[in-house]
Amino acid sequence: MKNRIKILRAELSISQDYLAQQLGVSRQTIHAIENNKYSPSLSLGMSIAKLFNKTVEEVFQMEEETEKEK
Amino acid sequence: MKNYLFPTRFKKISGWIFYLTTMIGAVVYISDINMEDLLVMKVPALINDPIFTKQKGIWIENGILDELITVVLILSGIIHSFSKEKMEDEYISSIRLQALTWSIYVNYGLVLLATLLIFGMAYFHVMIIHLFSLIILFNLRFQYKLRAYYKISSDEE
Repeated sequence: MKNRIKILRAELSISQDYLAQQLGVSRQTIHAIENNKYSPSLSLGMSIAKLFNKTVEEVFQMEEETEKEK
Repeated sequence: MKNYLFPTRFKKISGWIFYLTTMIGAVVYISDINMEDLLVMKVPALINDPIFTKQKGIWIENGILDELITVVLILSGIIHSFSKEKMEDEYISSIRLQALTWSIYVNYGLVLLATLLIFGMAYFHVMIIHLFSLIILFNLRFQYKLRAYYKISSDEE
């Protein structure tokens, strides 16, 4: 699963640390999600989307969808 | 969701006790020390096989060093393995689960190999080691993976 967290974070100029604090997870977890090393749970995924004021689909995309779009 | 983990404050002390007891246990087991002669006291015996002792009755004289090492190693190992990290989140839970899965595969892989290749009294040693191998393997794997997790460098962009 791909995600746009790094881009969204850059748009708002917020750090991994800040995002982690807001979500109640560690910075390492945000790092792992951004680099597709870890797929977050549904509730964490929804919390991330809510924090960026986006829908889950706008933040996370399945690999196949990303490939099709290319 | 309930995670059945111990509080973080138990992590460090249980770790020290676990690794120290593992080393003491290994040294005592490998050396020629007769554990039945150490810390002898009367203990209740629900079942007492006559192979190892001729004593009968509910209360028997027994060296409790081996029982002590077993109890401390298992309890400290479980508490150390299942104590929360300072920032316990779902990624750490996933690392813990992966380490547990890995250690079960490796542990029982080794047991299968030993079952097929080791016979006689030597297999008794395999069974003794097997009492602790799962918790030791799990701890080593989990700590190794946690170390990698905490080493993730800052790549703020």
